[in-house]
Amino acid sequence: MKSGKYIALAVALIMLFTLIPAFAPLKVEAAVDKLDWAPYDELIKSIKSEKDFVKREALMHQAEDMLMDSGGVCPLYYYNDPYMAKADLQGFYSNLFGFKFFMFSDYGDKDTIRLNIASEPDRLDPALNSSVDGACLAVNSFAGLWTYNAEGQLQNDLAEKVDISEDGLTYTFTLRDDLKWSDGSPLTAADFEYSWKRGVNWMTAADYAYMFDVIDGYPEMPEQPEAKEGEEAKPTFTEEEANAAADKLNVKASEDGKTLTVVLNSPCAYFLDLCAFPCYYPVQKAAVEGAKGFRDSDGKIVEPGAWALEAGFPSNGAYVLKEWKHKESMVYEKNPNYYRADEVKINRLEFMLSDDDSVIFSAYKAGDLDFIDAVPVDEVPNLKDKDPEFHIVPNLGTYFVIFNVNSSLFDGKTAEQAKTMRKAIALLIDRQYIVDTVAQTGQECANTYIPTGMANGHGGVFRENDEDYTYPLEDEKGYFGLEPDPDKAIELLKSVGYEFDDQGMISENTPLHLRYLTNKAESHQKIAELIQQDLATIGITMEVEQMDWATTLNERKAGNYDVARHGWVADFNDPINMLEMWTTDSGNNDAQFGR
Amino acid sequence: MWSYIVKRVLLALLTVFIVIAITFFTMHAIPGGPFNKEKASTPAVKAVLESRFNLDKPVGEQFLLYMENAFLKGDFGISTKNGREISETMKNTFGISAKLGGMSAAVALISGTVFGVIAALYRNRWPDRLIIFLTTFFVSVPSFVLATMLLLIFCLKLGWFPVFRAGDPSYVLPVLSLSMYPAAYITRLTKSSMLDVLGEDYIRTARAKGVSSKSVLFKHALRNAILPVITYLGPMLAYTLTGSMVVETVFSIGGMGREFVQGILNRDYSMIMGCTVFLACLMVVMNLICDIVYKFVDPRIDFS
Repeated sequence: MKSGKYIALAVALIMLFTLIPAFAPLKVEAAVDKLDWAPYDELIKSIKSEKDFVKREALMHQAEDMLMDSGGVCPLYYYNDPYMAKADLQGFYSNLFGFKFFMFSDYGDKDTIRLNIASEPDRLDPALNSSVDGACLAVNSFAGLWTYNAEGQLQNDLAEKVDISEDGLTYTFTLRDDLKWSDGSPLTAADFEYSWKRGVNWMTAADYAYMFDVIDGYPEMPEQPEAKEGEEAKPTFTEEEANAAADKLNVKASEDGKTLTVVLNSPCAYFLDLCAFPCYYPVQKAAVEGAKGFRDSDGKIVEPGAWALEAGFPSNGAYVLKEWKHKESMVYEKNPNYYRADEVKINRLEFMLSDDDSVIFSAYKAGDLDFIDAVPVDEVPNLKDKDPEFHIVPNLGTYFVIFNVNSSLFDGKTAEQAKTMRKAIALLIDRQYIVDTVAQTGQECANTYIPTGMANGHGGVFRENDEDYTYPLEDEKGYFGLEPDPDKAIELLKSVGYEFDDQGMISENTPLHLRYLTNKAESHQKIAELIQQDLATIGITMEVEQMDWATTLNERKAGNYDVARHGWVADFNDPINMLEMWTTDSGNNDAQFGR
Repeated sequence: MWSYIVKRVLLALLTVFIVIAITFFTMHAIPGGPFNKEKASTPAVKAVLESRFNLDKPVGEQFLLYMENAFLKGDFGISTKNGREISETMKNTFGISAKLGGMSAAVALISGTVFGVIAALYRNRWPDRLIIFLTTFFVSVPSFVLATMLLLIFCLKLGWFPVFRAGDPSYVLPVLSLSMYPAAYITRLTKSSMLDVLGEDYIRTARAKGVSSKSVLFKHALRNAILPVITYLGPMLAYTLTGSMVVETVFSIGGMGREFVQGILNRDYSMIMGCTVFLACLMVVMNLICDIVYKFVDPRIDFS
């Protein structure tokens, strides 16, 4: 008995000692050379300052070529947006960014629309909102200089007209007469000047502050002292300094409040698009700065959006918020001071605040809602092409997969070899099968990163072959064929040193194993599983790691992954929005290009 | 008795403190933060937000600042997500959850005791068997199944209640889905303890003395049989009053259950802490009250 114990102890000790080397830091064979990303950064810079919009489009094609050539971004499909609306609800419309406009709807003899867009919005302050559902609420309750009409085209809204200088730098907007806030007070160009300067002010801390960076005088963050080792940099500016910096934004209201003059950094193909974006909408200074909770007792700004946290704040659009039961419902009523109030037939919008698709669908089926923006994925096959109340509109965005270009997957490979590996993997994915079985709303499969329908900045669409540019696959207007091509993938992988057996499976001598990062959600998980199966056809093993959304974001931004799911819906109709996120220093460069 | 209460209160404070400390440090340790967004904000914006919420300071200092603000100044801060005052949100959401939970608790308590007594009196006859079947069913059905089932039957098939009515949600179905489990549990508790008590000598004595059967049942038996129910009442109240995420999601009710879960998912630090402080205090107070009520129901219990 006793000797047995000693033997066990001895065995345990031996095992422990043999394990120690396993814990010692392994000698990592790093990538041979790094992907040189400086040309991309340079290219984006020159796109942003290019004055000739035709040349600018060519440069943007070049940037997309570079991005696709890196293999770091692997597009799957372009987003679209399903919704359901009762048959006699007419006249509402949506645009490519998913904003839905209800103010000019016609619902027979009914004057109320009951609808669901999403759950509780974070922010109703148009400057602080950064979500699509918040934007839907904003476009129905605020109005800017420009807007989108029912055809999805840009149209002047509060501005009667705009004069653009020859060099394309100075925009002079003339406002309509007698514009009013919902509380009856006059709305002038000064309100726009205030709101835009507030939008860029660091103290406002708006997520979308960068949407103003095309305007001359956009405040760049002051030089910050070097952060101490292991500490994050702290802002060292005062409120006065922040105000002074924001005040340099080159926007000027005329004395009489009729005109607003804006000077841009360089000609901007999409400036009127920006003027139709919620963060460019005016907010009322008196309401913002007079709100309880704006400053604390020491006079420090604690909550710049304090004025719009509850119902009853002034706005200038078709509707004003009358009642807000948090996480339950919101009631908007018609704003009699809206300049097009006589065209607004619907007096009330009642929003159900929920994000449970099946409950929302039940409410619609039970007749308690007239419009829903989300449909349970399981129901789509029963509705698509069968139910006339089910509609699908295209969205300007792409669902894609990204590679961490610094992942250990590419250890021992040159940058060129790593590119080839990524491109080979992308060739294995059966996109049509993903769309048919998971995404299900008839999305268009993607073989470009910039989605179909994106404007080119000079009156046409970007995804076209023309005399200046032809896609590598001319007929398919894309970078690769949509049919999976395992033979080509094997060929590419062989060229970078992977061995294959007679059945076309990757050899045990050169295994390829990757980790796929996704947030927990049924559809993302299913897509991951399909990709897993596609890769398995040639013996690549993929392990799916599911995390909650906040953790997924954190890991992806920090580059703790091999492959991750991603998706991007454009903020405005120009390819630069989706291209500039991949520059080395961009906060959105999750693929870690150039790092 | 007073010294007992003082001791319990001090112990309760310590418990609350430990819960707060553990939550605070765990919360900061999990990856992701309130201002990490998919579309990254500019460094200036992130810096302003982090300094506004003291996130630029070391975690230890943040903890001290939080304790100072929360317990010396009574300031629980504002949500990192939507900017609303935490104390205000807690008040509103708890109001809703407590209304819902209070009704559910009352339904559970009344129906549970009544059915428990019936089951005990009709032991092994059909009312007992029916009640046993139903209680087993309701104890085992998870609330999300029950809530969805009720929604399907009463809203979609029968159309008795709306799924959504702006500003004025119906509370019948949520109360039903919240009270079924505790009602079933209380029924079983009452039944078994009632059976125990009915077999006691003093019940036979009372009957032999010629006390009316009504009086035996309510004065002698039920009063003793209710003790285990009271023990269960504390945790049950805490459970129903603070809301259930599932029931609130299905019936679109803006209660506390959802607030807490979403606070965690959003890494809304101030909301997580607000909910934790509130729930910890509520639990501790509920248990304390339960112990004291015990004393009044059963004078034999000695606190010393």
